[in-house]
Amino acid sequence: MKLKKFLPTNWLPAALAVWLLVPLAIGFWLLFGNYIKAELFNLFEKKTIMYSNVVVEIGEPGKDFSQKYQEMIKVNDRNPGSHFYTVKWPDSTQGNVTVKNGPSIFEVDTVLSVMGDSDDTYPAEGISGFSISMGLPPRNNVLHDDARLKFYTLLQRIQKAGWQRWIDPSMPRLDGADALRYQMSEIENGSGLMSLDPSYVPSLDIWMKIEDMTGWRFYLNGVYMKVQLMRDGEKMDPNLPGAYFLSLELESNDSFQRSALAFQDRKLWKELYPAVRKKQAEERTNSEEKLRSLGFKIDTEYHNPDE
Amino acid sequence: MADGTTIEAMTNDKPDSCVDVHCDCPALWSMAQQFCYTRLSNKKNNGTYRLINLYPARSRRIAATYARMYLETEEHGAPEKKGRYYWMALGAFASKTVGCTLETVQLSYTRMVMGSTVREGLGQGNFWLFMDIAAWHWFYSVSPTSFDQCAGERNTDTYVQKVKDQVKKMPWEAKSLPKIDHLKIKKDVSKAFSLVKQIEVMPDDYKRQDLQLQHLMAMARHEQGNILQKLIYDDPDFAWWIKVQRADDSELRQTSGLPTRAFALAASIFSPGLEIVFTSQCETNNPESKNIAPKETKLENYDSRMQWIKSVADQFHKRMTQFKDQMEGELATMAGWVGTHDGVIYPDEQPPQ
Repeated sequence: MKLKKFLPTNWLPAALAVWLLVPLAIGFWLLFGNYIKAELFNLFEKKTIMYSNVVVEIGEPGKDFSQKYQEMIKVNDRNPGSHFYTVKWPDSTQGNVTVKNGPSIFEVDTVLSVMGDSDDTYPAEGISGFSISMGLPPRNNVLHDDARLKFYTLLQRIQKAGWQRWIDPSMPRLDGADALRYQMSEIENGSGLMSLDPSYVPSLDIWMKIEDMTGWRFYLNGVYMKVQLMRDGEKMDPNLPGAYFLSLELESNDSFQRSALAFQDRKLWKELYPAVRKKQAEERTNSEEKLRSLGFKIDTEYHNPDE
Repeated sequence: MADGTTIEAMTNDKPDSCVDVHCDCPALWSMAQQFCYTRLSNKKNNGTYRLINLYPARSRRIAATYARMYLETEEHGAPEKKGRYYWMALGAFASKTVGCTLETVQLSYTRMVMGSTVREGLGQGNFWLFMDIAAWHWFYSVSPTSFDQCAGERNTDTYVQKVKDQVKKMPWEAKSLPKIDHLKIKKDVSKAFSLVKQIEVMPDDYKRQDLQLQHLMAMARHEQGNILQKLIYDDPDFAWWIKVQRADDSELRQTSGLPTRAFALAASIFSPGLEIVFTSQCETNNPESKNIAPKETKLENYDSRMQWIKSVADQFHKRMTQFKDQMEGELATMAGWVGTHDGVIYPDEQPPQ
C-alpha cells in the first residue's frame, strides 16, 4: 500500500482528533467569532489618538480639517450635498477647542464635541458652520451661582478676543436688563430670539428665570457666533447643583446671508441680501418706536458690527 | 397584548362637527387619542377597528403620520403653514429607523439571541410616543383656540368612557401610562406649541428657522425626557438598554449592520455612533467599523444626552435649511406609508388612507 508509507504509525487517533476538532473550531467561530472580531475592533479603538486640542476656523476646506484630525474625526458624507465633520471626545476626557478667526483667538475647554459642516453647492467656501458642544464643570453637578459666573467669564473671554455683540438688524437696540425683559416677553413674534447683552450679569434670581436656548450673539471678521444655554429642567433649585449644556455656533457670512432668504432664493443671495437688510432696518425702526412707548430705553449708539 | 384587540370607534368620527356644536375638553382629547389608535388600526366591515400587530408596520404608519403632519397633508392640516410642526419631520425619519430596525430584528437570528426585549422595548417606546405626540398636534390642527383652552386638561383618566376603555386595551398600557403621567401636559410641550404659534405666521426666513429649531429642541426634550426616558431609561426591566448601549450588541451589529442602538432613543431614536442619513430607505450598508459607538457614550448624563440630541438636531436642521426640497421629497415618500399592511391581510378590513 503506497499511501500507508506517508502516514505516521499512530495515524488513526490523530485523524479522529482532527475530525473532531475541525467542526468544533468551526462551531466555535460561528458562535463566538463575532465577539472576537468586535474585540479586535475595540483594541484598535483604544489606540485611537485623542487630540486634546482642536482648532476651528470658518472657511477651512473640509479635507484639510478632516486630515488634521483624521484619527478621531467622523465624516458623514452620506446625505447628498452635505458633509458633516464630527470630533467627539469620550465622556471621561473632554477636549479644548481654539476658535480662530483671522488674528483673533480664544479657547474653550470642557468640550464634548465639535461638528463642522460644508455645503457641496458652494465648494469654495469650505466649512461654513461649526457647532461646539460644551458642559460646565463640574459636569452635571454645578451650583447655579457658579455656573452663572463661569458662563459670564466665558462671554468676557469672547469679547476680549475682539468679538462684538450682534443684534439682529430687524430687532430693537436694547441693552442690559431691557434686552432680557424684551427677550423674555412675547411683545413681538420672535422676541425670544433677541441677543442678550453679554456685559450685563444678572442676579442669581434672574439667572434662574432665563429660558432654555436663550442666545448671546456676536460678530467678527465676517463670522457670526451664537452662544446658547440649556439646562436640566429637573434640577432648577437655586440652592442645589444643576446640569448645564452650552453650545457655541459659528457661521460664515455667506451662509448667514443665504439663510436670511426664502429657500428658493438662496442661490441668489448676493443680489437679494441688500434688500433684506433694508427691510430689516425698517422693522427695527418700527419696533423701537413701539418699545419706546412701552418704556424701553433704546441704545441709539449701537451700530451693527456687520454693517 | 394587541392580539385580537378590537377597537370600537366613537360613534362620531368627524371631529369638525363636534367643534361646531362645542365639545368639552375631555371629549376633544378623546377624539385626538382616537385619531392615534385608529391610525394604527384597520377598519373592519362591521365598523369596528383592529389594532395591527406587526411592529414594523406600526412604525411605518407612525412615520407616515408624522410626515403628513409636517407636510400639512394630515387631517385638518393647513398647507400654507407648512413648517410649523418641525419636530414631525425629524420624528418621521426616526420612526422609519425604528421600523427598519424592527424589520431586521424580525428576520435575523438576533431575534433569538436577544429574546423579545429589543422588539418589545422599541415597539413600546415608539407606540406610546406616538400616542402622546400625534394627539397634541392633531388637536392643535383642529383648533388652536380650543387647544389653548384644553391643553392643561389632557389626562387619559378623564377621556370619555369608550375611549378610556380602548386605551386600556392598548399594548403595554398598564406599565406605560403611570410612568408617562397619563399624558398630561408638560412644560416643554407648552413651550413647543407657543413656538408653533409664532412660526405659523412668520415668513420663511432665518428667524423662522431659528424658532423651528427651538421648537424642535423643546419637543425633543419632552419626547426624550418625559416619555422615552420614563419608559426606558428609568425602568430596571430595561437593563437591556444599557447592555445594548454599551456596545455589547456585537452580534446585532455583525448580523444586521443596522442601528440596533437606535432605541437608545436619546434623540429621537437615532443611534449614537452611526452616521445619520435622512432618507426614506432602510440603511443596509453601514460600514462595519463605523457602527462602533464610543463605549463612553453615557446618555444617562444630562450634558451627554443634550450633546447627542443637539448633534442630531443640527444635522437635521442644516439639511432642512440647505436641502429642503430633497428632505421634503423623502418625507412625501414616507407619507405614502399610511396604509402599510399588517402581517396578515384579512379580506374584511381596510387600512387607513
